[in-house]
Amino acid sequence: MKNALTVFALLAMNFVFTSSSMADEHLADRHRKLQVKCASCHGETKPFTAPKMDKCLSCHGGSYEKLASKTAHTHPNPHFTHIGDKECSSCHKGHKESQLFCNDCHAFDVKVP
Amino acid sequence: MDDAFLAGGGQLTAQLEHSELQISTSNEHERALHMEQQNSRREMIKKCLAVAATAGAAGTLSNTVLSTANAKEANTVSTIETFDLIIVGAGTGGLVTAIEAYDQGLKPLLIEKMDLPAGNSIYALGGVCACGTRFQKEAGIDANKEDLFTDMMAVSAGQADPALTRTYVEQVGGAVDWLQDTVGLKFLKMIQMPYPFLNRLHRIDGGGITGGGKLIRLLVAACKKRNIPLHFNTKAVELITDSSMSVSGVRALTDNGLVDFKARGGVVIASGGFSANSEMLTAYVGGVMAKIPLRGSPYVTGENISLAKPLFAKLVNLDQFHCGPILAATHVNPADALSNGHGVILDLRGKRIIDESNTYVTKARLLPVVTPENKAYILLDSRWAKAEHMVKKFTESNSPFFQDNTVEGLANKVGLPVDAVISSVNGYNNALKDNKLKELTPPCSYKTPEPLDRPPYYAFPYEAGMTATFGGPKINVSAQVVNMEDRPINGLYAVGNAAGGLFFKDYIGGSQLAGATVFGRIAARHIAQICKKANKA
Repeated sequence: MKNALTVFALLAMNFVFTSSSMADEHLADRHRKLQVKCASCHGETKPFTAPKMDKCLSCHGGSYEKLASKTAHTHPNPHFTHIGDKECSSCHKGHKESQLFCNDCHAFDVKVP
Repeated sequence: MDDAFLAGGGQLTAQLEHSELQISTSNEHERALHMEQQNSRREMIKKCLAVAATAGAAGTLSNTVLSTANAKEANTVSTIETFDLIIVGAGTGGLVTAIEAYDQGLKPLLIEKMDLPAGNSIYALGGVCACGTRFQKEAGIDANKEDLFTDMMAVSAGQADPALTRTYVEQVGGAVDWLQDTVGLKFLKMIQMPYPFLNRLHRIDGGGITGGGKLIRLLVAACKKRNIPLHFNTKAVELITDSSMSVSGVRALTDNGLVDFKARGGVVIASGGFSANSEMLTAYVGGVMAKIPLRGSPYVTGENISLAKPLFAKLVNLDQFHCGPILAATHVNPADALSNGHGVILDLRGKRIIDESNTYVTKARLLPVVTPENKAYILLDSRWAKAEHMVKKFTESNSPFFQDNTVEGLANKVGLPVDAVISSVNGYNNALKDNKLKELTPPCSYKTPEPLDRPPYYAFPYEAGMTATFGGPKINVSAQVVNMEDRPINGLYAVGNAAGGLFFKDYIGGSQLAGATVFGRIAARHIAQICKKANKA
C-alpha cells in the first residue's frame, strides 16, 4: 500500500523534474548573445518588468496564431491550449529557468526555451 | 453607508482645516507657495470626496480616499464610468450576456478578475445538451421538450426549480442555433449516447483543444468584433446600491486601485460557483468533499455568494455539487476506464469497495467516503476493447498505469498487497461462475459481467474530484436574483453556475454550458427592457 500511495505522491511532484532548459544559460543571455539590448525588450522605464506579449511577438511569429502554427508539431501544442493565449512570460523566463505553465496541473514533456 | 461616508468626509475636512492653521506667514513668497500647495491638496481632496459621494461610499472607501489623499500620485484616484450593464466574470454565461446585450443595443462592460477567461468553461470537455435545435433537425433527430424536462427533473431527484427547468427546455434550442449563427460554434457528428445524454448532446468541435476552451475563444472573438470592453485583472469586490437598495454598479479592484463602475440597467453575476473556495466548501458541503482535488478552475471562488449575500439574496442548494473522476497529479480524466461495464475497483488495501456497475460519477463520489485516501485502482483485463486507447491516453499525458501478464505481477508493480488483490479477483471470478455476484460485499451488479482472466491485466488509478458547485443566489425565469421573500432584487442578475435553482444532485452532461447560454441571453434581454422603459420615462 505504501508503494501504491507513493505513486500519487511522486506524481504530485512530477512537474518539478519535467521542465528543462539549457543548463545555466537563460533566455536573456541568449538574447544578449544575439546583440539584443535590454531596452529592446524591457523599454527604458525602470525597474524592469517582464516584457508583454506584443513585444515578444514583434520578433517571434508576428501573432499568437502564427506562433501556434510554428509549434503545431509539438504535442500538446503549447501555443494553442484550452487556457487561452497566456502571456509569454508565464512560461518563458528571461533570467531564470523557463517552465511550462501547463505543468501546474499536467505533466507534459514540452521543452520551454 | 451614507453615514460612513459622512464620517470619512468629516475627517478629511478636519484634516484640511488643521493643515490650514499650520501655515506660517514668514514672508509673502513662502506664504504664496504654501497657499499653492494647500490649494492643490484641497483640490485633490475635493476630487476624492466627489468620487466617494458618487460612489455611495462605504467605510472601506473612506479609508481608500484617505490613503489616496495622502498618496503622491493624486491622479490615481478612482474614476467612475457608466454602462448599461456590468457583467462579472468572463465565462460562458458572462460572455454570452455581453454579446446578447450589445446586439440588443446596450452598452455592456465585462470585468474578469484574472488575466484571461479562467473559469470552469475552459476545462469542460465541451458539450451542449439541447432539444429542438436546427442541428438535430438536419440530422433527422427528434429530441422533444417534454422528455428533456422529465429527465432534467429526474436527475435532480425532483429538486430542480421546475420553472427554471421549463425555461431551459423551451429556450435551449434557439440558444444552440444562436451559438452556431452568432458565435460560429461547430459541432461534431451527433451520436446516440446512454441515458441521460441520449441524442441531445451537441459535442463541440474543439479543433485540438477542449470544446469548452474553443467555446470561450469564439465568445471572446465575438465580443472583440463588437468592441465590447473586456476588463481583465479587474476583480469585483462589492455591489453598489442606491437608497432603495437597487443594484446600481460594482466596485472593483483594478491595477490602478478601486474603481466604481456604474450600471444603468443592472449587474450580472457570472462568476461561477465556489468549487475552489475552501472556506465555503467546508461550510456548505462539509466533510471530506471539501478536500478533494479540483477538476476545473482554481479561481472559481464564490463571488456569487460573497457579492449577493449582503443584499439578502436567497441562497439555495448550497450543499449541492458535481463530482467526477480525475488524477490530480496529471489531470488526466480516467472516466472511460470507469464506465466500460468491466473490471473491479480496489482500494489501497487491495479490497473491492464499490459496486462497479454504478456510473463513473457515483464511483467518484463514493470514493472519499469509502476510502480514507480518496484513491483507488480500476483493475481490468484485455477483454476491455478500449484498453489500448486508455493506455495511449495515460502514456501521452505521462500518467501512471500498470500492466502485467499476471494478477500477481500487476499487484506487485502497483505496490498493492498481493494476496488481497488475488483474493479480490478470484472472489469476483468465482462469484461470477456461481452466479452470485450480487451476494458479494459490496455487491457487483454488472448487467453482462465477464470474467477477469485475459492477460495482459491493467491497473489505472483514479481519485474523486470536484467539478462544480450548484448552489448560489436563486434566480427567477428572468435571471433576476430573488431575495428571501422571493421578490426580485432590482438590478441584480445571476447566470450560469453563479445562479442557484437549476441544478440539484446531478445534471445532464452539457446542461451547464447550455444553461449559462440560455440564462445569459435572458438576463441581457431583460436588462434591455429595463433600459428601454427608463429611456421612455
